[in-house]
Amino acid sequence: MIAGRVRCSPVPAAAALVALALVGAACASEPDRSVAMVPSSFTDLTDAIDAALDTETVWIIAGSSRLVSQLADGADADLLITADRETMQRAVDADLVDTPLGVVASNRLVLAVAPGNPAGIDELADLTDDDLLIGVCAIEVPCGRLAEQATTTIGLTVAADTEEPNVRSLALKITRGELDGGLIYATDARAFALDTVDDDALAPFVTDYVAASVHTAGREGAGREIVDLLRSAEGRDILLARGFSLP
Amino acid sequence: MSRPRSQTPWPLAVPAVFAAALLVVPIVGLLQQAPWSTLSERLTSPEIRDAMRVSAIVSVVAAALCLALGLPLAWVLARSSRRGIGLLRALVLLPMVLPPVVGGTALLFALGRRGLFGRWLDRVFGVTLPFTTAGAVVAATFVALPFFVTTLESALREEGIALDEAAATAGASPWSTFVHVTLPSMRSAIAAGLALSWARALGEFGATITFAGSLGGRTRTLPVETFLALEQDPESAVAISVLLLAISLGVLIGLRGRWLSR
Amino acid sequence: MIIRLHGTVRLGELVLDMELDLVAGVTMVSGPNGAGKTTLLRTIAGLEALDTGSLLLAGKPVDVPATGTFVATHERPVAMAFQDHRLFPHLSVLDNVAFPFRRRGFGREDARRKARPHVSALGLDDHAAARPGTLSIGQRQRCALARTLATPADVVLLDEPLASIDDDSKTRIREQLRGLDHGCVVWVTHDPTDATGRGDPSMSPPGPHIAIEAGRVRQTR
Repeated sequence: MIAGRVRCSPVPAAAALVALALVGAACASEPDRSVAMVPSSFTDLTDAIDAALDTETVWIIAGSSRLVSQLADGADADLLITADRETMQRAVDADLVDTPLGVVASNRLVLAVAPGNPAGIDELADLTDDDLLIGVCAIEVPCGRLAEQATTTIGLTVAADTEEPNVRSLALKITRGELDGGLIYATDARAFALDTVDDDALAPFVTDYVAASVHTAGREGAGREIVDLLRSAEGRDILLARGFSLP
Repeated sequence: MSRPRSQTPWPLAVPAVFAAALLVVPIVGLLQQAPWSTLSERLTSPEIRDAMRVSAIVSVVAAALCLALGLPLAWVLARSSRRGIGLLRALVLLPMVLPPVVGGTALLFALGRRGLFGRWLDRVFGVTLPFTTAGAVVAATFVALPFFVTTLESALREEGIALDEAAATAGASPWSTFVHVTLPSMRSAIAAGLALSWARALGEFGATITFAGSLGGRTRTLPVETFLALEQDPESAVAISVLLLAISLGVLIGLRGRWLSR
Repeated sequence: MIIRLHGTVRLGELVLDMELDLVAGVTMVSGPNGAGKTTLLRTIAGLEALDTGSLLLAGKPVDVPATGTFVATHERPVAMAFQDHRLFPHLSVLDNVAFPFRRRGFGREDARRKARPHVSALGLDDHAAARPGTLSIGQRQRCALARTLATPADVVLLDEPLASIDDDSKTRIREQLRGLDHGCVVWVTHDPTDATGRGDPSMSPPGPHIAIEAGRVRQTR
């Protein structure tokens, strides 16, 4: 050990390391990959799309409102897809997107039941049964708005026991049997292998996934191939396999 | 006659300033975004009033449960010399280090309708905890209990058994000693523990929304309301955040005497 | 025979070997610091347990490791004055002294009534309503003594009872303690004057005496 007065402070080294880490974190994205912002329902699509296009897209998956907020805060992206028209309109109004690319997919609202259907739900009217544990999405999220629209139009007062903040957590609780049933998207019912109650009254209630290209990443035309794929025959197969409907 | 001021060595001062900034800057950012002109109007809307009512009930009942359950537990941890007490203490601290959503998931798996104990509760007593206010209370108590227990345990340890021994030699049974000697000496620790656990219960989100869900007037607490408001109405989210911030600061300032005097 | 103690107890790394048979009256305990004087008192009180041997108080076995017999402190006929006083901070002087009566079933006013003579005897009338935190160290020790004397017991254990008492009161209180006819008083002290009652340390102590040395507690005389 060195004796005497040694001025060997660890602080400058630590400061340099912290600075490097911060800079490194900020430069996480690579220059060549497309950046696509998609809603949570697209989670199971991303691998299939990458496989079909033979690329490695950078996927930013979040609730549609969050995606728009992130864009507003300056995130870099090439493509934005939202889970309903309303949210895309907000992005358009805030001048965050470039060229609208139209509807790429749709998702039906379905009444899913717990495995084995222990509560014996067989019609929409069962949603009004106080004795059953029913879940819907909160009205602040697209799935919730759609459910509200559907039940109001059909004339049902849902005896909901919970209004979940996202459709995945709702689907999870139905799958666990903690809820007897709930209104979720067809894709989530497929993903969780849940049985659904068929009722034509629900058929018109569909949410549209709207796409738009974004200029913030500075790449012309990037991200458009994803939209083109989804409109192709191969893309349609991919969508249908996961429970999406065609626009 | 002034006392010489002790100098803060700069290798300590610089990181300390950064640390203070890290803590203060987000709060300043929040306050700067607050919709001050519409604040009172937003905070008195029916949804937020409902959320306030639910939060008030859940946090107060949870704090009361923390006292009823946490005080005996703290006593056992502080006074018992059995083997395995260390393990028990680690388990008690677990909710403090566990991500709240994980805690909520664990509660669901244990106390949900299909859960390990939950199915028995459902079958024998017809009691379902998820999606009820009681469920929200359970989730809040789960995360807040360790705060109460640690506050009380350290106070009990510090007090030591000296007074217990004196009471015993004066003829007091262990229970009588607890009621007439230990409890009175724990008054300020109990107050601090209650304040901390109440504040934690009030701010609880992850475990609550995973276990109890969210329904206006029943389980939709202020933090849940904030999270959902962020989706469509960020200004309301900020308004509620300012309210919760004010409450938290109030608790901390109220406790400052106790913290600083230690 | 009020105390029959024949056994050993561990004192840190030391093992204390004790042989005592004490009748009513005042017995002094002397020995160097750390020898085990306090441990002896704590063992009789039940705050420490014997490792081997037996302890009988007033004819009743209270600590017999071999048979697993152990009577808890609060059920033993003992009263103890601690070196560090240990007054209850949330109670007044009067209520501290009344504490033993309250625990024996007396109501608050009855217990206070019974406590007052002891408070007076130790010269604390003027401070009866004060909290221990406001008292001087001498007053605190007197309050602790009053509480001990108010505890009905066959065995009174005093650990340096006069150590913090101011000199003017010392002689008077010393005489009070020496005059106790409570039963068996075991008095740990550093001060030889406590034993003789007079200012002359060279005079041999009149009563029974316990000396603790090198881990052995032996009764002399």
